[in-house]
Order: sequence, then structure tokens, then C-alpha cells
Amino acid sequence: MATSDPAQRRPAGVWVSAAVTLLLLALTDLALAAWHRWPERLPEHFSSSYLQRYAAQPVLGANLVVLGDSELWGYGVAAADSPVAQLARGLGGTHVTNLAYEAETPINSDFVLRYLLARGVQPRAVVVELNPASFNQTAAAYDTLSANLAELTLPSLVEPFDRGKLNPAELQPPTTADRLDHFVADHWLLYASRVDVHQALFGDADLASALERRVAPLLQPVRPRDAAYAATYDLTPLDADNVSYAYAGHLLQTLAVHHIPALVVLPPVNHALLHAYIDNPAYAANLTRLSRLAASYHLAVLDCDGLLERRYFLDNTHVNRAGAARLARALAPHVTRLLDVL
Amino acid sequence: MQEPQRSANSESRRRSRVPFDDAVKMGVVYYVLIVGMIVLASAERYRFFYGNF
Repeated sequence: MATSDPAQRRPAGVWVSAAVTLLLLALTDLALAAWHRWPERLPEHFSSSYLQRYAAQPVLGANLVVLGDSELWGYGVAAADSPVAQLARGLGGTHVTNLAYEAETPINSDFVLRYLLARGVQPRAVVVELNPASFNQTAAAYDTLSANLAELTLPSLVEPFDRGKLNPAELQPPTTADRLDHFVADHWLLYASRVDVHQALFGDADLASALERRVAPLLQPVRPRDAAYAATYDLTPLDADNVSYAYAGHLLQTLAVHHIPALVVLPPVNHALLHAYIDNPAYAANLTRLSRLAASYHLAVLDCDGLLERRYFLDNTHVNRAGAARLARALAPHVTRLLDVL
Repeated sequence: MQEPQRSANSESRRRSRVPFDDAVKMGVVYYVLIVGMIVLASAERYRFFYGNF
């Protein structure tokens, strides 16, 4: 009898282990679901679970929503010091939702707005940032959605407008791995909200990125040099052939059709650093085209392109804490006017 | 001297009859490994690097 014990015990032990593991994972999910923490901004690289949670809370929908990229997100500064956070403090009681994230080009903003509207969330007002760098046809996010946003919005929110513009790779049928990923994310909250957990714990998309961000400057101190941005600004005249420009038009048209008051912001750019590349008539003409595009939908435009001096920048376009404060102060009266219209 | 030996044997027999503790511990270990992997080792699959943006 004694010799048969271990063999008989093993299956029961495995089931007990599995049950304990599953129980602990379920408790972790319950704890995460109860964790009602609303960070001041999205994770830097977007989070589908954050946007899903936001869209599921109709009260939060009646807000000022900010759509933009890392400049308004507040790259390089703490969440509380980002331009949007400082703007929100200046507006007092108005709840401002910062739905900006890294490389939120017009196509990304357009699909975020489509998702909100499809979920029945109609923002009270919207601030749209149009960064001239977004219109560069060689930029990674020029015609491509953030992968997590694509998972949330494709193919259900595709419109005839997207044909010939959206990167065809986005419309490939999902692979088995994609389906499995969806299934796991739908049934396991810890997995679905891992980006949010990473952002909360490490302040970055994942631990590897957080370590790299801290270690890399020690190995090779980074100082912004203008040559690094030689290819950042595409000075080709903007027209409908530019996918980013086309999506900017579609985004602004959607806002106008849904009668959502909007302010279009052309963000500050470090002209002192980029003088050789952008202080020319072609760049100025493209800014004018963006302003005219917004005006064609009767939307207000705030041109902050030359607002800040070099000392307010971390690099070509990201602002430091003082720069963010200056930008927030510049935005405040226009946003107040936008909200007063209602 | 035999008393401790007997006690150890008795303890060993008791454990061999009740494997529950070990199984629970292994369950906790699996849980820590799974959560640790997701929190510490999972990386964002796709990221837009600044590059020229």
C-alpha cells in the first residue's frame, strides 16, 4: 500500500495546484476590476482596455476630450505636468480626458473618435492636435493604426472612405494567434490590461522599455541635434493624396457632422533647433493648409507653432514642464470659449 | 537518540499521507510565475518608435 501512495496522489496534487492557481488568478482579476484608478492619461503607447473602460462609462463621455500625440500626452514629463493635466487644473471643474498617445496621427485620432461615437459616447468638446510631423509619408504611423487600436476597431469600423488609404496590412484576416489573443484578452482581465499595469508600475509600455529608457542615456548621453530631425518634416504640399491629411479632413468632418465643438491645435515646434529644415515658405504653406482645412469645417484653430523658445523644449517638439505650462495657458482661453459655446 | 528519528519518520509519514500542502504551494508557485511573466516579461508587441516621427 505504501508503495502505491505517490502514484495515486500525483493526479490529485496536480488538480489541487491547478485549482489554487486558477483561484488566485480569478482573485487577481477581481482585484483589478475593483481597481478604479483612472490615470491622468492613457499609457504612452495606447491601451485598448483603457479606451474600452472609458467608453463604457457614459458620465465620463460628457467631457472635453483631447486627441493628439506625445506632445500633448506629455512625453518626458510627469503625468501631472503634461500640457493637458495643467490645462485641466486651469479649467477648474471641467473634466478633461487625455486620449492622446505616442504617434496618434490623424488616422489614429479618427479611429478613436469613430470608436467613441460607435459606443454612443459623444464628447462635449474635442481638442485635436495636428502635428506637422504626422504628415510625413515615411513616418511609421502615417497610414497605420496602433496595434491595440486596430484590434479594437478593425474591421468593424472600416468605412468606404478608408479604401486605398488605410495600410492594406491592417485589413489582413486575423491569424490563429490573433484569435487566440482576442479570446484570452476577452476572458482574462490581467492579460487584457497588462499595458495599463506596466504603465502604472514602470511608467512605460513594459519593463524592458523602462530599463532601456533609464540606462541608455547613461551609456550615451542624448543631446538633441538638428541633424536627427532632417527627415522628420515632409515639405511636400499637403493635399488629398497625403493619407494623414485625408484622415485629418475626415476627422474634422466627423466632428462637424456630429456637431461636436472642436479646437484644432497646431503644436509648438522648436524652430531654433529645426531652423534649417522648417523655417521656409513650404513649411509655412503647409501650416496654412492645415488651418484652412479646419476653417473649412468652421472649426477654431490655434496656431502654437512658434509659441515657445528653445528653452521650453526637450527635443524638436516635446516640451518640458515649463513649456507645458506655457502651452496650457495658451490653450485655456480658447478651450474655455469652446466650452462656453455649449 | 531514537526519539527524534522516530518523530521525523512520523512527520514524513504524515506528510506522505497529506500531499495537500505541497500541491497548494505548487499552485502558488505557478500563479507567481504566470503573473510574473505577464508583469515583468511581457513586452508590447508593436510599438511606434520615434524614428522620424
